[in-house]
Amino acid sequence: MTYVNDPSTGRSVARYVGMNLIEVGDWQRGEVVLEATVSPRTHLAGSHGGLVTGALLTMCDNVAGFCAGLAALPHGWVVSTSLMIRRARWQSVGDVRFRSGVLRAGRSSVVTDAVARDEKGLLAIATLTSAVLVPKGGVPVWERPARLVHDAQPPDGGQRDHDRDNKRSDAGADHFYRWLGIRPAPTGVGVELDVFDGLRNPWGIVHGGVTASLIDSAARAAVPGASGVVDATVHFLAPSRAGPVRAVGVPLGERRSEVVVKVVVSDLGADRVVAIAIVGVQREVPAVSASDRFP
Amino acid sequence: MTLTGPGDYPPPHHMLRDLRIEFEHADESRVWMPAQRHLADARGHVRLGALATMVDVIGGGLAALAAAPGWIATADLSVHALNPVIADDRTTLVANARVLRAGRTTVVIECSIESEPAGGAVALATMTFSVLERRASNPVLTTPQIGGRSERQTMASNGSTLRRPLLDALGVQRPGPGVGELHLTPYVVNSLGSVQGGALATLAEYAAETLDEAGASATVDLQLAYLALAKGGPIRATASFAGAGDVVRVEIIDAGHALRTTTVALARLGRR
Repeated sequence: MTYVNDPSTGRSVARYVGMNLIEVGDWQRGEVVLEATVSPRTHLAGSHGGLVTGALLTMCDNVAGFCAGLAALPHGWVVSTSLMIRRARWQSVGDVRFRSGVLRAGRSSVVTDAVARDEKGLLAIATLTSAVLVPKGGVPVWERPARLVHDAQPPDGGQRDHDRDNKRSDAGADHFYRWLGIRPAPTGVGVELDVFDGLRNPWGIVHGGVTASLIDSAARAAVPGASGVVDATVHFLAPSRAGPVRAVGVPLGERRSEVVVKVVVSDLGADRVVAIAIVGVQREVPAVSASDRFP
Repeated sequence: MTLTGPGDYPPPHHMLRDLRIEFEHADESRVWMPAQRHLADARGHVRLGALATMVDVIGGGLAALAAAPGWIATADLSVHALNPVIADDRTTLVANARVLRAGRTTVVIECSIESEPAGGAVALATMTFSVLERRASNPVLTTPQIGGRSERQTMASNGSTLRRPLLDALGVQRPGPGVGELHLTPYVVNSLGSVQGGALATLAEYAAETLDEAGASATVDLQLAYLALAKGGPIRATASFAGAGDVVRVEIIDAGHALRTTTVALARLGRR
């Protein structure tokens, strides 16, 4: 199922995080630049009080992905192939502003970046590589300058709560992860979620930010005492359509307060690996100051 | 991207020959590189850029095989250090690479690096390659390289070895903190006449770690997105702290090509 051409479908994730994407670049001269503002509400807050990493990953994927799609026009639209992100701080203060631009626009791939800032400065920085494909229904047409405006969805408006009985703090503390339906895997190793239409992107496959959020949960679940993910390199290998989708993290090495974890994501319904990630997990929330740059 | 096959590449005096890289393509692709003392960073550990170079060699070769008859270009490369290895001629680094995805538009490779004889994980790397239509100028892969098991081959030539620190051998110039420059010489080019991906990684690593003027930091993670070929020169890497944490952003531009941005990188510094 592909509904890239229908702007009203496949946007539930963007609606949930309340992301408003506005094109601000000089599009008539071929420049593609997007800005987005998010007012973090309690349903996007993590246990440390800041914007939950999964939501941040989703927002970066959203804004950089839409930017890449506009840059691919009129030849095609895009799917994410790899996302590299680094988080600079844990707590966010006030509105979070995103800005995304094109680093490279080729015939087969587009590279875009996303920079997230709040009142205190840089929050996260991401680079997204996307593959250019032609949707079955044809290349979408966007009115330019493009706008995608979503009011934040009420936290419990018709959503499911798979893990209301979940006792594990890594998957149960944050509303965003409950909305996604992330729960401990029945095998006792890793985490998983069921696929429902609200998690699909306009291509009809699981949203890249959802997969990234599952990776975030699996990486933290693999590290005792984990507080959060500081960086991630995610490779999207195949689309997730069927579900359940399971992510399992394996710690590979440790340095001071950080553990490097490899996460493998599989679509159990399709019996295939759909994503792989290398993730840096912090054991405790650091109080980073300018004079303490190197933990 | 680097071709790991026979032919006139690499030229006689080349970084890959001095790194004494050997490789084979079998069920998995494997590459060996001695941990020469001249690969050391300020604290005696093998540089992340050197690890990225061996990863680029084996990943590029494996991706080219997976994409045949099409051709490839490196889109991104990430390398995460797990355990530091002392640069010591008695130690050999071994990297195993495998294809995670071979699609119509991209090839994704995973590569794990260990040390011998001590054993233990040294680093984990991943790469994405864009699949391109073959052009007449692209190298031709020979039959044993496609679907067959290759013999272990070496890029070393008689007597080739690093005779000075890697940064000096590459010709990295150091105008100031957070900046590194590299001239386009036959020693550092790849089969496309651009600066080798591993050399760009080493340049980015150098620029990032010189932000710490006390010299106490090493680059422990590096994520690079390759945007355009670096075929002019000088190639200049500029690193800057992004925000108050330890996130370092590096931009590499080609000063001989209208200051075009060829590579962007995110680095993480640590006292590993």
